[in-house]
Amino acid sequence: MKSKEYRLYLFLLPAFIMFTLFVFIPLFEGVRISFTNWNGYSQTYRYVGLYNYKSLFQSKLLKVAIVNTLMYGIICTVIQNVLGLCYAVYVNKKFALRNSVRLFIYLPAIVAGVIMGYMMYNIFQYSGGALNDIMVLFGAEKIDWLGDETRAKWIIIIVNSIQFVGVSMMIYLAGLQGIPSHLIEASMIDGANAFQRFIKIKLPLLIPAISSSFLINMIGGLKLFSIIFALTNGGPGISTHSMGTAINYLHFANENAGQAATAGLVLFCLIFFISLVMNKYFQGKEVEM
Amino acid sequence: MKKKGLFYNLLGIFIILFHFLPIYITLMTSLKQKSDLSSRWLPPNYLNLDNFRFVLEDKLFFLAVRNTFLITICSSIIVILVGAMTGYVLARKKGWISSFMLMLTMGVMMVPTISLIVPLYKVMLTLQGINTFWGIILLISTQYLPISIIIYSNFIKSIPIDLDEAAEIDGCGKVSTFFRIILPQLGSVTTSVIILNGVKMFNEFVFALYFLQTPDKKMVTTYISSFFSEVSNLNVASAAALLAILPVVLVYLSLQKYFIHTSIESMGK
Amino acid sequence: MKKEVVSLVSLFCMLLLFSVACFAQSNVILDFMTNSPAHVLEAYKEVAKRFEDETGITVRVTGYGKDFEALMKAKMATQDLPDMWMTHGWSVARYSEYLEPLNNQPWFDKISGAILPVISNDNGEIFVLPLDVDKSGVLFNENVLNEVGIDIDDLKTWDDFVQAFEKIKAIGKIPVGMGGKDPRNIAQFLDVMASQVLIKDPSNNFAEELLNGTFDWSNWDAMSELLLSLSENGYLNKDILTADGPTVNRQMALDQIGFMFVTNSAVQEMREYNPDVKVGFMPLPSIHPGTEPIFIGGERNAVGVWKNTKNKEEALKFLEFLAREENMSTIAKAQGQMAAFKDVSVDLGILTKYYEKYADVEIQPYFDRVYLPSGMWSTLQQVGAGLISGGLSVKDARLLMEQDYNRLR
Repeated sequence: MKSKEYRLYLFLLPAFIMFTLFVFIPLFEGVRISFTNWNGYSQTYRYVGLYNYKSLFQSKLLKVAIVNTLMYGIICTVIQNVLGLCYAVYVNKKFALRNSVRLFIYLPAIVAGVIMGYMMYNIFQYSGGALNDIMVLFGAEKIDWLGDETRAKWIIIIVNSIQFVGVSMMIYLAGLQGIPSHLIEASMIDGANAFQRFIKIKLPLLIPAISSSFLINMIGGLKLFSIIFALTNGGPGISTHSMGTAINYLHFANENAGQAATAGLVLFCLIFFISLVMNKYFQGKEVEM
Repeated sequence: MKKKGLFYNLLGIFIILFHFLPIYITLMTSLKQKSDLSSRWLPPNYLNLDNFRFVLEDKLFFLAVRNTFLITICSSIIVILVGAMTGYVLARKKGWISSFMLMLTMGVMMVPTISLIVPLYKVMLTLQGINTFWGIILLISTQYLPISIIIYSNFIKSIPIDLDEAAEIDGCGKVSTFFRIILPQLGSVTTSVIILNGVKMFNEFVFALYFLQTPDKKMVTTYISSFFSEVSNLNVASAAALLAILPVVLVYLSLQKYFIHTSIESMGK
Repeated sequence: MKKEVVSLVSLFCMLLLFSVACFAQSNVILDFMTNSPAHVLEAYKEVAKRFEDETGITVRVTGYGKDFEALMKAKMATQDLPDMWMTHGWSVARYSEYLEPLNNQPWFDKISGAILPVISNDNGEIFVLPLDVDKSGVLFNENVLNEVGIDIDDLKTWDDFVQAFEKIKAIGKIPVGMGGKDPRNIAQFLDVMASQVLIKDPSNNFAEELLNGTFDWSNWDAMSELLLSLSENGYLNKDILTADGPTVNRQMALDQIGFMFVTNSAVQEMREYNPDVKVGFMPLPSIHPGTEPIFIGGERNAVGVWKNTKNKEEALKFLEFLAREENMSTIAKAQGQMAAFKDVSVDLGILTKYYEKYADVEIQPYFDRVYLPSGMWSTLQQVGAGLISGGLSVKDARLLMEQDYNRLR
């Protein structure tokens, strides 16, 4: 019996090997690079100690990128979950178009981020962009939508949220459909109205769905890369860079692989810390109910 | 009640139009010639399918679609099998090994891929995995394994442990319990795993860019992005993008029915 | 029990099968990678086809567009390079560590004097076969200049240009077009003008200081201010920070833009938008009194061979083939540039008359390739975009340049 128990741990082996080979070995190599002045392609480099860690805090680019990354992560998560839950409640009702609505909300999520970015660029472009055509039609001045720092950030956030709101909707929809109907019926008999039913019965039962949706959105938002790459390329100036695009820029364009590796580790710690906090929070909630 | 239905449908039309907008603009662009500079909202006043013809006559496009499907399907199989196996152990076993593995899993989920590219390239070179399908399949599976492990482990926790115990009394070991009792019950959650990850695998870009370099091994995303970056022909690129979305939409449509079907089934229990 | 083991093993067998399926190689295949735009890429494929017909050796041409440099850096880092690649101006500073010296090749003596110094390192070694000579100046739209009554022969100095900008601005068109979404287009302006500002004037010549590391970076402020003067006076397109290359080329093709500081290969795309577009090019205006307009030139299409390739003999054969007149002119024509060999002539269409007109104008190398370390091209991009967006002040720009210069040297 005992030996059979241990055989079960063999089940962990494939995943463990894959993680080690393709994540942990490269990750430790990254730690090593972060102590060098490597330019990203030469065979020669030297160790510079903590230089990259010190200069990290003086780099304007990385300061901007960290703030933006947090902003993208948090605001995207909020928008996607609030809107996703609303959509899920809505498409859970019975009406003729409901399946089409589900399809079209989910449709953008199956388009690759790079392609979506290019599609959206056609809309927000200054000359010949679809949005400015409407502005001109109503006699307004054309606006360089992506030319203003704050506006460009919000456009990135909105584009990303709208693209992936379908994923949250699906998770919540599955959650809503998983709520046993006898619970709802019982509360109806107790005379609870629709709003009370939603807050008291449905929401607590959705906690697992909320927790997984939050985690997926948050990590997606913090790792945001391809939309920025295609929409603004980090511009205007450096103002819309996320950590992802900043790392790419530092490593491949700026020939500053050491700094890029350092930034990668910072991003990793950032995501790890935020997820840990979120997980603890939701676990607490689940126990309460 | 009737009135409410009308309101829902109207709201539905509005939402559909809103979410369809980028695709509509792309469709209009794909139907125009490069020299046509009219507004992006307007359809062309001539019939022009040259952009689509250009893509469809390109052998490499079909190769890219085939490669992408091959990679997505194989990666999905690995993610499902390995994910369910790992999830099962994490759900049923307590102790330091499980907690350690859970921690690793969470950690992997949070590693930003972009910062791993160069060290990863070295690993792949040692394994001779550059420009091979198995190489990128393993990479992509590794990336989406953590989220599946967590989904499976959460789901298996909800399967009553009595079932396992009953099986053990019947003389099954833990391992065969997994294959005989647990695996058959994972149908609906597997669908979610496929829906959640399959799309992202299909749209993989960064790995495909670095690890599949020959033209006949490109994935759809790298194939299309070459139109944006090399050719800078927006019209052909738009046509290619739409053609590339098409198979995913079809797969999704057929899976969606299954998705709802399984949800209803699990509600009936 | 066995069943489980079997399924585990079969999983890995499946993967093995895939790997076997991928090893279906036949005779020698040479890999050639480039970042050329579409029509140049097609030209390379055409030449590769001719080569295969003649020798039976397949050359697999792969285009990587803007992803090329990142991919090549990853490949250099891991010493996994293609047999041949296009070095786009970096054969010495970036790629020479991995390239085969080619001085002993039969075509060596044919290389024109305009390009030979650019592709040689300090020991006189060369690492590439150059195919064309890049000549960058200012592209202009003839229709726009005619509309405001400017004769290109009157444009010699920066002040002449500023007056022309004012006239174009007055009729509501864009004096200078730049597609700054890709900040390379802003950096290009800094790169080509820097020679006029920092190198050309005998009394303001900083070449030596830049090369030996004693350059006083406060002198860079003149460059920043030159760029800022364009945006502050409203000479740039309104969407400078968000327009991409094709958008600006389209505006140029529609006679909305007067001048552009880009390479001549952009003309190909303008003609796709408007086949009758009338554009020409001229040398860069002088900044300091007493100096003359110049062109910036250098290596563009140049092909090198990986020093560790297993197919060195075949690769060198392909280079020899590329060096033939008809093949070289195929590439040079697609790029819209003159060939890199003395005796090869190229038909350059609407640009021909300007090449003839300015045949004797001095050519300076690209500033960043000679006076800045590899890697600062991206700093130029960051500085250019930062200055225009207001994210960087003139002083920030100076500090950033200095910091990267010292780090990358």
